[in-house]
Amino acid sequence: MIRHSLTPALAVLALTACETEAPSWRLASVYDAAAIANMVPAETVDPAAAYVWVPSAGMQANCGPAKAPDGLGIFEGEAMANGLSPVLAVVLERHPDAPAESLQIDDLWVSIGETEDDFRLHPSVSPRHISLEIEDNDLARDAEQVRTQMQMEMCMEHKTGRAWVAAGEEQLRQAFLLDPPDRNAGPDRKYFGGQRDPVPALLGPPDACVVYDPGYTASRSSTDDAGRGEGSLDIVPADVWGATVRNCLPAEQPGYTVQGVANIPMRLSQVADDPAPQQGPTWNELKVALWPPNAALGRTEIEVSIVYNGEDLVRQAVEDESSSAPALHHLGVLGNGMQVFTEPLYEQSGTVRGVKDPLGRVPYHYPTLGTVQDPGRYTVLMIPNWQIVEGLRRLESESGEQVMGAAGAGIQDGVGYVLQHPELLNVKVRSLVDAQAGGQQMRTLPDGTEEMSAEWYNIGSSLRGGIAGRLPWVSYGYTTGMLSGRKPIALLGFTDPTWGQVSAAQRAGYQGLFLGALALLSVLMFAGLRRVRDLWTTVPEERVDFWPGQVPGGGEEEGEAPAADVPEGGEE
Amino acid sequence: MTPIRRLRAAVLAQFQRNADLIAVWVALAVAQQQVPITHFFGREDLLPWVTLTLSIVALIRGRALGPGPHPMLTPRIDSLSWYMQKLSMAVAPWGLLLVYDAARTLSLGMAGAAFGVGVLVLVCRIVGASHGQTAWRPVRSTPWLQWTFGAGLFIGFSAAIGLATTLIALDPVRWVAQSMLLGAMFVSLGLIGGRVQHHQQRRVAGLKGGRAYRPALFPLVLAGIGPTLGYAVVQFVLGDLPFTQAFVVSLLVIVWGAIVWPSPEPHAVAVMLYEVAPTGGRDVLATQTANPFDAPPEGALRFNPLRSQRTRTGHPWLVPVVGSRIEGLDDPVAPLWPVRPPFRPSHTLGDARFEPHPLTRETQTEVLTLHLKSETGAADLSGGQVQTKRTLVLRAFIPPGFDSRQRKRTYTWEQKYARDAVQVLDATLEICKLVDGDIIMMSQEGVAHAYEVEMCAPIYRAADAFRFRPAQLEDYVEAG
Repeated sequence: MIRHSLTPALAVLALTACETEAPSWRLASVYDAAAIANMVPAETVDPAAAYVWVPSAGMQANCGPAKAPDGLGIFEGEAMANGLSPVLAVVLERHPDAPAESLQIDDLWVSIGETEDDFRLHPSVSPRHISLEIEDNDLARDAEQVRTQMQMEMCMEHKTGRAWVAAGEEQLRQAFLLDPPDRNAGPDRKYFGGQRDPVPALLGPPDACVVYDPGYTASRSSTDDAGRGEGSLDIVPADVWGATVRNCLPAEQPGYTVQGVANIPMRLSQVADDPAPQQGPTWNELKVALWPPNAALGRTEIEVSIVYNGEDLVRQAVEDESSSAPALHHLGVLGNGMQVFTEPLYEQSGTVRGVKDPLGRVPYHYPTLGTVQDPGRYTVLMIPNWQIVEGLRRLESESGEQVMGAAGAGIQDGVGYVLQHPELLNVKVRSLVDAQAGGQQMRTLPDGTEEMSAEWYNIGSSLRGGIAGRLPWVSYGYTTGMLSGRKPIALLGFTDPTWGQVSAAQRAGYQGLFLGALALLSVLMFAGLRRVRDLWTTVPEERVDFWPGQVPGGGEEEGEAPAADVPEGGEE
Repeated sequence: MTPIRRLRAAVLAQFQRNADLIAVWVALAVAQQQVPITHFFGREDLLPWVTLTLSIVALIRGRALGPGPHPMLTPRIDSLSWYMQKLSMAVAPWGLLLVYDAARTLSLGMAGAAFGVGVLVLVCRIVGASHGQTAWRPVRSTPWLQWTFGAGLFIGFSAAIGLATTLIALDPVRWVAQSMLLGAMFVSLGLIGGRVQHHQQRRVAGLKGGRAYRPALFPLVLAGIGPTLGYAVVQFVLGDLPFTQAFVVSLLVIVWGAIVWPSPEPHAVAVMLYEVAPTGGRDVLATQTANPFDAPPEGALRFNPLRSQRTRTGHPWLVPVVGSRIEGLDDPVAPLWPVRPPFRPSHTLGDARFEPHPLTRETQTEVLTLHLKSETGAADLSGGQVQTKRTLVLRAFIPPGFDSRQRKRTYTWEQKYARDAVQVLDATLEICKLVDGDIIMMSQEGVAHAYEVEMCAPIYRAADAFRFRPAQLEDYVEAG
């Protein structure tokens, strides 16, 4: 009886020992969002339910028309929303005990590749809706320079539907479609020609306005189209030279709902708790203040402070020790009494001296979904196919093999390829060290306070094969873990994912088959191993002289049994 | 090494005995992946999944927890009724679950569903009443009163713990309530398959020695307390398990199902001895002269167990299964009339029986133990002449647990085979062990007979064993 009772206890102990989740985020699902979305029978699809990219009227009036990539006619986010291109969807689930923080671009590193020289992908991000306020502090000329720069950037976001992330000139020209596709080799992209390096797509049109400044006149004549790209089909830098951003209306204050634009709808499949409705876009406050030189404070040149929704972004970069953290920073006090970090406004890059990019510090957030109790529990990463195809081509190229073919040749469905080779996918999340797993590590910040240190975890490693982190060549294919089979998925669009779609995305059928086959195989292997010695065992033989009864066949060929014989004493 | 061998043997024995339940657990783990998240079975408190597991266990293993009818009475066998009884046992836990839910959510709809399930259980029980019915009704009474009381007790209990979870919204209270509900399900399953009449029969018959019959409460207590404690421990240790880990609770139910309703132990096993004839192996005479001693003899038939085929002659042989228990203590009910002596499993070679496993002392039906008669020997001196006879058991492949070390050879030309591959039944051998596929060869004065051993179906009821034709001596010797 004791033996019987011990069995469940051992099982429970074994399962308890498996609870070693270190990072705050874990992988919930990985799938092709377009393929899953298109599982719905065509006759049930309402054509009127397709998502149409409608830019902000204010941005349209001041920045000029939004322009989709060449030859496609639709925006990247629009293509993903309507399932027109494969989309690698990665759903991350925040640990219930982890702090409720959303993931920003700097917190995540999604890439493909098996080595450190992997190819970074940029999942789509939620658009920003910025209410910009510039405090010039009698530095009107510099403030105008900053304002102009930020307006151009915001207009470029509006025109291309892509996120403005800090990058070099070449990357920016690619990202904002200012270069023709592969100027030397001709178009070799099936989708979104003219791109090379990945750039996040926006999941909805952005919007921006400038808080009224008496010395600034933003509104221009609606008939004055010069410098706003009205007459050109392709985008050129001159298209934004004349771009402006309108003055903010009274209703366009931080926290207010953005009117006139809608993010791409995203639906979470059913979860055990009540799902939270997707929040509409709201205005965010961006305050940029310029600080004149002040020898008493050690400030030798013009500096700038950037506050976004009440958060000092310069201070954050310093504390996070990020690569964009300024080498030199000072303290300043805003008019509302807030103490901020300041950094030099101008920087020298080679022989060029330019204004730093304050908008580059404003974070992008990945879209989140969740329940009423935990609205931001799931972070959804949508990666368009072209980024993965580009990465696969580069990986092939760098390995010395032939570069994947151009349009119509080579791998076209990069999402399917990655799902077939999940060991290529890395999803690294910067997460606080879990005290239970690795011991709580504290670090001292520049202002003397302490906080938990952050570590990078590749939560995509569960997609890799291997046994207990070793033997990586043992590949099981797609496994986010059998226990994740019922985690929700998210799809772009207006309809909730059905269980059939969830089941297909999570490979529920395959997981069931795998479990059943594994159990059967284990039994057969065990039974076979126990009797494997039968293969070389010697079968004993016994010699007898006579055998009664009739033997079938009665042949006298060599090797056959002797014919019937009559035992001694028997009758003929 | 003995404890390890004993542990290994015990684990293997448990796996073999409960292979059906293990298969159910794997099937549930496979099916678990397919359950929609909003489906009733996929409820996050796991109770529907627990109940589903228990229902399947009841269909496979479920039976009454009591000792059953008086062993000397022959119960009626009725397949349809048997199915209906099984169905009633499988459905009954759902009634308790719905009562619990109705009380927990104060839902009239749930209460109505529970009533419907109760009616279904009642109908199944009435339709399946004839299976297991025995002739003797010692007390003229109607069992409705007892059934009504029992049903009311379980319904009230389930409703009470459901209400408790509503009134005291604490996790520990809910965990305890769910655990107690599981225990109540186990007990109700065990009771619903029983009969009041059986209890009355035993009470009136009394025990051997004139002692009064006292019902054994241990199985009921075990069925109630065991799963309750087990589930409570799981919940208090692991907390609220999500449905993705429903395989943990289904494993718990499976394990306790195996404990409460262990696989029945057979009274006997039917063994068939098929006469076999060789299909090859004859040596070719190379010379007409005698071979030297260092050369293998030629001109004889080398019988190989793998080169044989069955004739159409078979001999049934009923071999009793001997447990590690003391029979008299198992069911000490007083007999109703003089007891018929048990059948004799004697074989011409000796007394045969399936003895408990030497390491685990568990009942087993794979190795037949033959206690040889003393006269089994190599030669018989009678009538002034010597008759040579040789009996041996050939085993083509050595099963796990047998001695597979190489046997010492007398002559260089002898085969290298394992020690337990050949058992020569001579005067020095006291115990012979037979497994499925063994060949018994009996040769006398050079005339041989061979029989292949096949372990057939186990027999679970003593009454069936009594109807079996005992083996006859002429079945094995002097076939012509």
